[in-house]
Amino acid sequence: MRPYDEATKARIPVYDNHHFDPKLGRVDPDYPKGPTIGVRNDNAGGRVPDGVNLHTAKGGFQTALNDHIKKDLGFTIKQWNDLPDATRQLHLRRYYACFGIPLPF
Amino acid sequence: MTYHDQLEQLTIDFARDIDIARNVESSNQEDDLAIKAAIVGFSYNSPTSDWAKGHYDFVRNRLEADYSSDQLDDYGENGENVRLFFALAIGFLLGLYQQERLSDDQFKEGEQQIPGFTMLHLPRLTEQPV
Repeated sequence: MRPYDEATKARIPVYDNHHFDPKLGRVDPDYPKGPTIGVRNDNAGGRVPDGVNLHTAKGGFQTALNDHIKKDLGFTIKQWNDLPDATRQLHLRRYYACFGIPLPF
Repeated sequence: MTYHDQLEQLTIDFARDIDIARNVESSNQEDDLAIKAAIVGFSYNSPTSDWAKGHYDFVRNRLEADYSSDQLDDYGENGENVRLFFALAIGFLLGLYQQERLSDDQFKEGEQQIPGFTMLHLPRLTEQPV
């Protein structure tokens, strides 16, 4: 059986792990052990000219997902809404699999 | 029925639950419709008397991070529905968590799954104003 964390072992290039903000902020003792999400960080160390660092970007998971839909997949929200349910589901499952998060819908 | 199945049901009963939220009476001025939607979601699994300031702060922080007015413009004329659905769903999970029916890890995973669930059902959630 394919383990859920398999995708996290073959990360998308230029994506780095970023901790979710914990309930108590960074003083939360569980912060280092908390869940992470891959975010674009292709300007770290000048790896990509004019690259993007979303570590410091505004927003949480919803914003990151919407950016993926718009910038990486190239859909407007209207185009996204017009996709068949199964296609939206496939895109979403691929995205979540990159972070080792199951999407059982 | 898993909590994922119950989240699915929330999309079907969404308009009804927001109507219920409009009728929630609160003495707290800061309880806008989104917070009241979270309280309705919370009440699926926990008594509203258990709703506390910590729950309010948690939901408010999430709403400000991902569901501010300018961020909702992307979803079209009924973009406010996305904010309200998130509030309803995260309130639902908080109610389960309050009853210790979700572990810390399960709650975190559920919270992360809500955006995916929202985008899967976006056409249904935004097809008409609530």
